[in-house]
Amino acid sequence: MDILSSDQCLLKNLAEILLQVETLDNEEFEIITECSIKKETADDSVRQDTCSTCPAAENCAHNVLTQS
Amino acid sequence: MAALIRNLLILMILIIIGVFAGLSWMLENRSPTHDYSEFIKHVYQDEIKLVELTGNRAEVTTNKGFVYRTTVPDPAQIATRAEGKDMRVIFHHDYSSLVVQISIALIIITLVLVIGGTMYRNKTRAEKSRFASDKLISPNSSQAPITFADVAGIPEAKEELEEIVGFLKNPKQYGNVGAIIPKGVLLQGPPGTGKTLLAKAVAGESGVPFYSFSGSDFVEMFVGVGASRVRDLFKEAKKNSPCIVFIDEIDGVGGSRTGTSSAGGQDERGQTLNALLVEMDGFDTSDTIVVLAATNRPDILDPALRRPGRFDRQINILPPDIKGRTKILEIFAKKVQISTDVDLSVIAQATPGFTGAELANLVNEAALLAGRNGKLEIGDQEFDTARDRILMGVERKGLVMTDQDRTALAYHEAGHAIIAKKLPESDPLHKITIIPRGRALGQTQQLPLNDRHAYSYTYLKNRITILMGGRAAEKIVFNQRSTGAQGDILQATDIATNMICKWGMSETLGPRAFAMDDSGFLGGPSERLAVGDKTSRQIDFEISELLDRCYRKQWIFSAATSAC
Repeated sequence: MDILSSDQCLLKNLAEILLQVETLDNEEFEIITECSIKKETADDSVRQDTCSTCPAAENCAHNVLTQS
Repeated sequence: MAALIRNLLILMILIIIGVFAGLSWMLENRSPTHDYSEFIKHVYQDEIKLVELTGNRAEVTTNKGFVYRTTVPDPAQIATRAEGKDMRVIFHHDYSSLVVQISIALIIITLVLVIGGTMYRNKTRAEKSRFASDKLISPNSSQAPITFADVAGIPEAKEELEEIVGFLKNPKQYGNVGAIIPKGVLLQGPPGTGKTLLAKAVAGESGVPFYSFSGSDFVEMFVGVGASRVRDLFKEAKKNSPCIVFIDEIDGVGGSRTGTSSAGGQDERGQTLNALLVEMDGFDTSDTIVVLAATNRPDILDPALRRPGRFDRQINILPPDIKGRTKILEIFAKKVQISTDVDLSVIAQATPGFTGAELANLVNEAALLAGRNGKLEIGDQEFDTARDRILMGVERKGLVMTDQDRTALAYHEAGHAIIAKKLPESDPLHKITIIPRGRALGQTQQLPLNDRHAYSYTYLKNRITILMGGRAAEKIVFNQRSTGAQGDILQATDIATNMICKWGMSETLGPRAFAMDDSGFLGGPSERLAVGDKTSRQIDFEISELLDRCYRKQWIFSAATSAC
């Protein structure tokens, strides 16, 4: 399994949140990582699909913004 | 004192001249003046009682007691005209012209003395400045002396130099056991590590005269001037022994003579260096002169300068480790208002590789930011922003990016961050940003938990992979390549080249060096050593292969994540 391809959901979420908040620190990055992983492990088939099935980036962004 | 006496003397002469002139003027003007024709008229009318002649000036007293002055063209004629009249004529010696002559002479003498004195003083000053003795810095000057307490982060160097201070303070202690103090100490290290500060601290601690020069001070257009300055400097130093002579950036004058530019030591630089070598050999250990020199190019110094007997002791001064940085920050923190919430050790951890000068700049930038924001204390936020400003440059608020470019940038940085997170032995993530700063559009920062002094093959390979992560993310999401990865690819190529050419990490080529550094502590480009065509092709292949493996074959686009 390649690294980035397997984490396309995380990649998408992270990029979209970055577009909103512009800067993320390590703690915020960890929140987004956990958020994306939970969804992936909950439904394994999602990982094979496109990122449209990933958790909404807005939720992650909300978590990050709330945290920060 | 001498100048005061001279000025007083001049003042006194001027006062005397002034008094003479004043008296003369008063004598001249004590009575009214009449013209000669009126005087003759009075003579013919027998109205004159007395005429007192001084030169051709006459003071006339009439019968009625009125006194006036006049000028007579021929004083002898007055006596003739007085014959048969009741008019007394008295001739006086004319001293007024003498007074004028003396006054003029005094003025000329005074002017000659003043002009001559000024010229002599200027000449003496020029002679003194010929060897720049005006740069003599006395530890007893009005400036507060720098001591070892002002220096932190370089404990080994301090320890070495404390011995020099001990000798300067108490030479007998070392002399009794037959120890000979080093004639010269060469401080070598990257810029900003505190070499000059350390030299000043030695002077401050020992309390002896401190002659501070730069290597370029000795190099002039005219051949022989630099050598003369060196001789003058050591002559002066011997007079004021014990003392410290500090030559900053000695590579400016002490460069190797084997280069073509020096032409066997026949040019100005060569002669100056020869003079320096001779003088350092010339002074005896009993002269108690210690020569300190600093350079960040020890590799180009003339070997004769570095031999024992001249610069006996060579001290490396490298950027401080995390403990050193904390101590340096503590020193600077005393000079500014810092919030009690700020943990300086955390800032020290976030600034690996920073030198003392860079840390000073960091604290000052943070203080400026706090001041700009109207804060009374510097907080973590100011330190973080100041650090970004120093590392990445000023935020480019005016840069307008299209949505497409911003999106590509966000994926690019996200790609770096995810790879960094996934790979083992990587430094922890510190910050991801898509705010353009300096030349970078965005940045993913990683910070090591501790200072790294050696790098493993895995770490370096992971570093290349992380650098490739941005390009890989663009390829996966947009299926295209952009110029945004330019800096990453350059850095990755540099690491891969060093791994193969300098650190012997190629399985095929083995532990062999194919390049070397020749820029001292300045971090210039490496120079490839001469190799055959076949080996050269093999080196290029190995570098490309390593980069390709990290980018494509095994790490990002393949299933295997084990070591290549």
